[in-house]
Amino acid sequence: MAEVTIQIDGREVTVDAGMNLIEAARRLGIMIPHFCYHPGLGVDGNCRMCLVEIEGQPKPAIACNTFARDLKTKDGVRPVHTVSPKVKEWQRAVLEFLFLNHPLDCPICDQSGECFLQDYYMANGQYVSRLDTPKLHKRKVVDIGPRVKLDAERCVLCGRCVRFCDAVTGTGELSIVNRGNRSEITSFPGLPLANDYSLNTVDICPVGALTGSEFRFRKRVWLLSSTQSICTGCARGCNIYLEHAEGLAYRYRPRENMEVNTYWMCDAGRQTFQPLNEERLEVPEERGKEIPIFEALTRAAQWVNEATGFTGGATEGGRFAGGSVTGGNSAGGNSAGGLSGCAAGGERDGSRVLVILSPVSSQETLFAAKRFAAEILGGAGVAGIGTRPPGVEDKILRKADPYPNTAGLALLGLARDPEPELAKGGRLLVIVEDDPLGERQRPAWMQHLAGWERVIYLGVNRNATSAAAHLALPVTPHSECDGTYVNFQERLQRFRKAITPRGDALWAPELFRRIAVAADPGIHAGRPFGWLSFNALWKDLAASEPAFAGTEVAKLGGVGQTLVTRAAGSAIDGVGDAAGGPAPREA
Amino acid sequence: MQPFATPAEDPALREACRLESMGGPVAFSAAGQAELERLFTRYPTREAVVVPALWIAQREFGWISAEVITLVSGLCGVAPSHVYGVVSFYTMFHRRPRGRIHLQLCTNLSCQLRGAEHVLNCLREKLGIELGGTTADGLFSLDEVECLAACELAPVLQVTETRRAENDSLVGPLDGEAARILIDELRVQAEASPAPVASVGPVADSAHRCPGVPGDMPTNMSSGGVRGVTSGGPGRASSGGAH
Amino acid sequence: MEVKLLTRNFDRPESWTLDAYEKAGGYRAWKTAFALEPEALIQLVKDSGLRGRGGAGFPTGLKWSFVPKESSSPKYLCVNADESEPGTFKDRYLLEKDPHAVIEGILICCWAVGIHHAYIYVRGEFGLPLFRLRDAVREAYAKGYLGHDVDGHGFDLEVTVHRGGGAYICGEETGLIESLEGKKGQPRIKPPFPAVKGAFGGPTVVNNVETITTLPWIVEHGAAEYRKFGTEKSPGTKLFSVSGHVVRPGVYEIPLGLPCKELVYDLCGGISGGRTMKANIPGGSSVPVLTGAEAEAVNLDYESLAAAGTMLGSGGMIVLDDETCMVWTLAVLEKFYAHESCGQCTPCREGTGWLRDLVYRLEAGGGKSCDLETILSITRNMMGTTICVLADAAAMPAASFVQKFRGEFEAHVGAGHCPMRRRPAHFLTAAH
Ligand SMILES: Cc1cc2nc3c(=O)[nH]c(=O)nc-3n(C[C@H](O)[C@H](O)[C@H](O)COP(=O)(O)O)c2cc1C
Ligand code: SF4
Ligand code: SF4
Ligand code: SF4
Ligand code: FES
Ligand code: FES
Repeated sequence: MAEVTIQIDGREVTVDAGMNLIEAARRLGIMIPHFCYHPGLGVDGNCRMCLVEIEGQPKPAIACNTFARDLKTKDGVRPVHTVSPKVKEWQRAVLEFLFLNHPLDCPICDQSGECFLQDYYMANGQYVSRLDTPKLHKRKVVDIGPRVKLDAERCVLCGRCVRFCDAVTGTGELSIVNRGNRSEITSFPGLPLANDYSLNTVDICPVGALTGSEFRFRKRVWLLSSTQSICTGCARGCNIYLEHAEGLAYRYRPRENMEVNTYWMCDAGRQTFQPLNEERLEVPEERGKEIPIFEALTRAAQWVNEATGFTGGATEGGRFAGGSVTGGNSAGGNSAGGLSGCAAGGERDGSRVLVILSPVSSQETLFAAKRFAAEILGGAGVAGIGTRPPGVEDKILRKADPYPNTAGLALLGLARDPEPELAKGGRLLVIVEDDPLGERQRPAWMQHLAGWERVIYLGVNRNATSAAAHLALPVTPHSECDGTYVNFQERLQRFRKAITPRGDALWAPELFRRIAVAADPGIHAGRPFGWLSFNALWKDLAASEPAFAGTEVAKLGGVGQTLVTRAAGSAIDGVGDAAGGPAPREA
Repeated sequence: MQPFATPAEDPALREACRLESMGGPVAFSAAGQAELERLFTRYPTREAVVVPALWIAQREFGWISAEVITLVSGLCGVAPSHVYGVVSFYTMFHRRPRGRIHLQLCTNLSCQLRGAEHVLNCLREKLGIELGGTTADGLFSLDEVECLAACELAPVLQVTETRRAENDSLVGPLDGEAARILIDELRVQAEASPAPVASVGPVADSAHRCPGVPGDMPTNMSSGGVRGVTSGGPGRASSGGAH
Repeated sequence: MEVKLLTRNFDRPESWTLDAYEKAGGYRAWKTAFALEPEALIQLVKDSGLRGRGGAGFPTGLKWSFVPKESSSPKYLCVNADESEPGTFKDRYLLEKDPHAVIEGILICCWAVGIHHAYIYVRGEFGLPLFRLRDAVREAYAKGYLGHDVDGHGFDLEVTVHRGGGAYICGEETGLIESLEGKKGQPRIKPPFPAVKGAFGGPTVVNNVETITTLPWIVEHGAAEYRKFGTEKSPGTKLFSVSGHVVRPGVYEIPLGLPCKELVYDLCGGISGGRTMKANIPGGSSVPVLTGAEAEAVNLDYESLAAAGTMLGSGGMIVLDDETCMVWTLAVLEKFYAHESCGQCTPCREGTGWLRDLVYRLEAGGGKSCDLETILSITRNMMGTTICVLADAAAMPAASFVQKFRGEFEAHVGAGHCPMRRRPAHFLTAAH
């Protein structure tokens, strides 16, 4: 589309001719106050909050329905003013109208702190003084749906929630009934606001009229910090803000990403933050008994050495044996180990060791586990597939695949059924994250667990698997570390550390490194195992995994990037095409 | 100072979002259904038939309940909440049962200038009900309406038989005495025919000659006003009339 | 002076029947129209200077010319028979007394613009006008004036009579379109204008009943003949609905430019009870009020009324005598606007209710002297800031009442009660 250079408050910006003034101003960092316009719901033009002054036009214009092309005249492009005295007066007037029947609820309103009305009012001065007619009363604290509460008195009737249910979910639960100042948001009797995306109405409601029943009154919003993250509820990987305070996650809010989730996320996804706070495995446990982290690391290292027939490392009791070092290239070393007394490390045999991975893990964890298996576990088998029951897929966002990183697992070539190897039994089984023994999962192959001498579990939560393991080690969830997932579109998306790790929880790659070091102190010299940072890990990953070749993780930005340089042919069923061309992307 | 009731004190407001139930699902008669089918051919969308369908419903059921909305919603392919929005937006759809005869007195300016307030008081007194009320025998409901586009007949009353929806008759100019006589006449007619009242009079014109005689004139009404004229009958009402 | 263009058939017996209309020479004009190319027909209407009679006074021919000739989606005509502007009842007369003239006007408009389906949006409260119109449409179909291949001219035209549900705002053209589509009658933001994207997404002409009904006469007699009536800039005749304190309220067809005095004192027989004219609302309740003296000096055409600070509007003239309380009058009007605001735009939704509450309070005797300034400032904040002009329609009377009759408002504040009325109005004591 043609571009136009327009002038807003004396500054020029070149935008698409079809872009409205709210968006154009946003490019300049100018915020035009508005209630009803939402980029995901389009222009409605009812709130009149976005009035601006256009030179040569006597009447105020609404910025939301004025497009760059509309400013063009025969004699040039008309300049726009958003902060002129006239505009300030118009805005003041609209706010005054809104306050006429607005309850003075701010001290007890959950929206306080993220309320457009409050913000605009603060920016425009105070003028309630002449509002002395009795206020209209409407319904308050109505359960408009199972997850959403309505306070009709606070509603500014912008219609965003109605339009959301019409245009996005197509469920049409909400409507504004009556007219004039008796207008009120409501649902039809027996058809509450219960769609799978209902909490988005809470996000887009510019005031405190719709609040989430669950979040309500749990935290003042100005006490929350926001961190860019990814929802782990399904393979969509909706971009979110993870909002937290004092080490606790309070809620997820969708973050705009036009390629993935646009502006929305599903209700179920929002509830997936609970495991970040609850039932956390904070301290290592040996057969259900808490033990100090150094002891746990030593134990793990010892078991690793025993299982791989490596005797150069740690011994029972936590002492490191020997100090001499060789440049032992243990990576991929597959020859029979068990060189008893070989202080220099020697060869490891991974044939009786198995690592079970899951698409629940970040790309970094998967990669680190793969390397750990190859280098420290003597080329142990690595396999993993998701065992959670599939969810219900819909036409909006939700994917049936309930994991955030199925594609990432596949791209490392690790997505396969562990059963054949598991059935053989062996000395050491390492289960990384997920909860295969969880009630709703329990794949048939877990029956072979008994055939394993020792089971180490690396996980975020205390669960059936952590309880069954001989040793359970805490790792950080996506709220407590930096990381990436690859969603179903093979889009690599970044999440960022929001919270300090709980208890002894370690970033899984770091945990692997520490075990490695404990298992083989000699590893420091020669060819070291492990990465000292996220970026270092990615350098390695991009260089060694063809699917990620050339990926510069630092340049991912907030919205991620589709992997285009990966090897021909897709490892994921149904995603890649047979010809090996780029995988079809979802529109 | 005279009592000043605030809008906030209106109990109806708190019920503003209430819908009543008829107790069970409803269905259109065969004739209603046939009419509906014909209507669907007259508009490019099914949604456009919502208002006509509500008219049929009001004729058949007398008022619009939650069940009626569900019915119309299904037929027109519109979410029930939106049909509800439509019902609540328009003044002519009743969200609760109304009396057999619906009296709507215009209280807009031209009628007020000629004594609508007085007529209203007489009607309230005669019927023993307030605005919005229904007589105990269920015969009359009284409401006020905004300008009926019949200001030359001010003060004017629209008389509608609820179940027939389409026999609205305008009666005016009214005064207190005329209003009382009208009520008596309507009652006699209604008692004579338990079936829907045929009409207030022959539907020859939208207005009916006022049965009353000049009587008690309220202070704000001009005594010189022409009485008993109709929009089509004798008297001066149109440019074609005698003068 | 009265003239009879639109009202020419009103006195004929059973004037609403096809028979009577044809006997009076009806259904001939559109044959003349069909003989013309659509462009020529539009030009004829432009030449006649006909302006919309629904309130805005927009030149009709010009409006038609905005409709694209070729359109991928069907074009529609919506005849605006929602007549709800307080004080206006002319369209009711046209529908009751000459419905076939409306239909013939529709034929002419649709031929000119290339429309094959017209909807007549009739306000829900109308009884007889609706029945007469429906019967007339039925007759016209039966006679082949409507439907497939109209009268053998190879032109198809469907006409559907649509009954509204009762809402003033459905008279606003985009509110009407929304309502016709089965929704709440909430006006749409413009652009796009209906001529480009209106009913069911197609280009749409919205015209008032009176505008449409004028067409057959213009086509039959020509633009020049039509221009013999009225003034240079306001040609033709206009129906005025006169009500309130006049001896003979009713509908009067007058040439535009007629002195208001003549209409009030000659045609309507003057002020009832021999009293004097205190005020005059000349164009429907939404236009600024004139004092009696101003009204006596003004001529009834678009320009003269504009010069006098008011508008011709719908031609619904409400005459107030010297015993009328202006605060009470404004209270009645603001009750109406607060009741009828569709409720989408903040300034209108809140402003109408606020104005009403303030004026109620003044009339009830509880007003404060600062209320007058507040009212004026509210009206300023409402005007020009909303989707449709209902906000302006509510604000203009309020502003003009306070400005022109300030003394009366102040007297209410000073006295603590209405100095003129003895009985409280029901709406001040009952709630709304
Ligand atoms: C609040 C409001 C109410 C209106 N009511 C009517 C009406 O009842 N009838 C009408 O013809 N026009 C009404 N109009 C004017 C219409 O919007 C529109 O201008 C008119 O129908 C166009 O037809 P015309 O050009 O033939 O006048 C109203 C406008 C507004 C803003
Ligand atoms: S509830 Fe919120 S989103 Fe919905 S209309 Fe009211 S203010 Fe807007
Ligand atoms: S669609 Fe999937 S990724 Fe998005 S919010 Fe829901 S569960 Fe989370
Ligand atoms: S100005 Fe009033 S009536 Fe018009 S669209 Fe806005 S709220 Fe509705
Ligand atoms: S954002 Fe423009 S009118 Fe609401
Ligand atoms: S004011 Fe009552 S009919 Fe117009």
